[in-house]
Amino acid sequence: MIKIENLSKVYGEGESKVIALDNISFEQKEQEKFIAIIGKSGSGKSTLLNIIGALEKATSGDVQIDSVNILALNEKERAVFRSKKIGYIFQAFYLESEFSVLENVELPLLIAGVNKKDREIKAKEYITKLGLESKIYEKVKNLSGGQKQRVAIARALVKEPSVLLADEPTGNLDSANGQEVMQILKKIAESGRTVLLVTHNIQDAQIADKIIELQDGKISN
Amino acid sequence: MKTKEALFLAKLNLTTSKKINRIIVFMLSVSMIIIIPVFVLWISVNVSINNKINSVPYMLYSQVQMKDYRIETANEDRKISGFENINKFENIDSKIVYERYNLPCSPQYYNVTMSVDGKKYDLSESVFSYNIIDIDKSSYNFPYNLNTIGDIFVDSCDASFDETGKKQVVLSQIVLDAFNLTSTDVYGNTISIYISSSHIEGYLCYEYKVVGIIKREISELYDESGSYMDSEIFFCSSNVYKDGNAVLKPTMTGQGYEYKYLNIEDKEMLNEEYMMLGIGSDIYAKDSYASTCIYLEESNYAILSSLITSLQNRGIYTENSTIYNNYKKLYDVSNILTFILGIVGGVSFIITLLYYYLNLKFSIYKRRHFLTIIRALGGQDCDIPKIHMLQSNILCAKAALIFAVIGGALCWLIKYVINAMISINQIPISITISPWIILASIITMIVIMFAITNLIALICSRKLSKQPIMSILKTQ
Ligand SMILES: Nc1ncnc2c1ncn2[C@@H]1O[C@H](COP(=O)(O)OP(=O)(O)O)[C@@H](O)[C@H]1O
Ligand SMILES: [Mg+2]
Repeated sequence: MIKIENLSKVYGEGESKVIALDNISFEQKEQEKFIAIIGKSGSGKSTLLNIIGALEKATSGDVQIDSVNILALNEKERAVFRSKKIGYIFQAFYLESEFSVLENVELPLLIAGVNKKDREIKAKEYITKLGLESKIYEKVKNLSGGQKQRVAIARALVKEPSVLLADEPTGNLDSANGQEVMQILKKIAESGRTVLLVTHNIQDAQIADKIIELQDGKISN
Repeated sequence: MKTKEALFLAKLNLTTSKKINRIIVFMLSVSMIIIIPVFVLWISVNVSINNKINSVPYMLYSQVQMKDYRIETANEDRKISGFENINKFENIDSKIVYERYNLPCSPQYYNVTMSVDGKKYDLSESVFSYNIIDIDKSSYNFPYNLNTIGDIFVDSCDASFDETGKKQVVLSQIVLDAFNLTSTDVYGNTISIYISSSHIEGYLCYEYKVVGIIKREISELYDESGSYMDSEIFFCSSNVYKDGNAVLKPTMTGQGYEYKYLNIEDKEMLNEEYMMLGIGSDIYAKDSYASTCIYLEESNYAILSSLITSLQNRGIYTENSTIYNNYKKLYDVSNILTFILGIVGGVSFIITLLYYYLNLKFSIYKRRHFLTIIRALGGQDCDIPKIHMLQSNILCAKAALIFAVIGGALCWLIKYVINAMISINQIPISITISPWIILASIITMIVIMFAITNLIALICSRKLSKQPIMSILKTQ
């Protein structure tokens, strides 16, 4: 469960000061598994997502995930937290194109210290779930954009995190591939995980249980 | 990340730049294949030389100016101490011991005067030139026919003290002939014989009373077996004076003589090498120096080298054909060789490291997003340097395997090449290359290589691991 209180994020100082998030508060309710964050470019969506994912620090406020105040954690604890709780899907994928699909997908398990046998089983399971079983030993550089995004999703899911963060996961995809990815995310939310989707596409957001709209760093709905 | 997993990832990372990694392994191997034999050679030559030098009592002949010292003979039985001292060196390769005698003795310029009761007599010209011709010829015929002008006089003045401590001398007819004197001119009188040349000045005897004349033929002297020994004994049994004061006195111990300094200042005053040898000097050796023979029971190349340098700096001639010079030749050759090859190896190692550094830096920059994703997915900051250090270790391990085998084999080969070269140059030493030295060198180089490449990996990857995750992911 995600609970945010008076969260603010300010970049820079003086002249170049940017208030990316301005005193945001919200609480995830039990039935709200799929939350979409929408807003114009520069409204603070990614910043919010990154703070929830412990990738970035906040300027002030409180962020509790499963009752852990992540802003109070030190660097090491944040890394452990990320490893245990969070899965990420980035718009730019950030896959290693020279690695195979399997090698990319098992990376989070590797980091978590899962042994080779178990991580292969797990990785293959999610690769199959995402329909990439025929590409399992293929290098990522040989895949299409849609396939790459599915590899990225498999990588985010393989650790079975309680919170999945997706920052414009369909931004680099055509609409068919985009639709497919949205369906996958929907299924994940239905399976009981929290999915936080950042998008500027209102249509994509429609399938979410809750939509948060950001405007100039504030929740506007 | 645990090491096992980090290693897995490091191996995986290496697969993304196989070609460059192969080049790095190749370059590391090549530079080490040059450096290791050079290192081994350098150590082995030094160890071999030092072992050799330390395994024999080392004798260094030098010739010391005796200008400031007045030397008087004062022994009756000269043979004893001379042989005693020479025997000390019997376990040295006889070639070395006698090498110096193969050098021609060249009495270029002697001026010997004899004063009888204050009246000075110069050396007769005829005897002088006669001797030069003869000496030049005979002195090549080592060892038994070696005689010089100095030898004649030394051998011809049998000086001693009588019971009351009065100085007395028995002169040979040869000496008298040399000065165109007759026995009646000198018998019962007090004489001094003074020898001076470009380098030596000293009294063969000083105010000695002539108590007898013996008739001896010059030829007899020339043929006298072991006459050079007599000359050695000359100084062994002599008193040494400076400014009219005795400073060094030989004392009889058992069969031989020992020198005794009359006070500590004397010790300082006298040439230290004269003190050390306790053997004696002769005045017939090359030019007109009194030869000293330095006997070092414990020695090494460094000590010898500095000793010789200090002697030479003081204008003291040292023999050119001693074992030391052979060592020096070998040492110099090996030093030049190791210097040149060392530079080649060192430069190629530095180039390799530079190449590795630049490639790693570039590769990390290129892969910064993925490497940061490792952190985003739960890797600790320190995992990034850790992975890169492991990568460098894998490359080093591959290189180490290659150069340990090839470099080690080369070391063995070099041993034969060097020893063949040495035997061509007739240097009486062989280089032993111990497998332990090879092993130690390989291990040393491996450690150095690992340390430096790890440092490079750390330097290249540390910055990235410290930057905020999002600040890197946000860059294009
Ligand atoms: N590292 C940063 N330094 C300075 N300003 C930033 C930084 N990251 C984001 N911002 C600013 O914060 C605001 C919110 O950015 P972001 O959360 O990326 O918006 P969105 O994802 O909604 O497009 C923007 O005005 C952006 O320019
Ligand atoms: Mg954004």
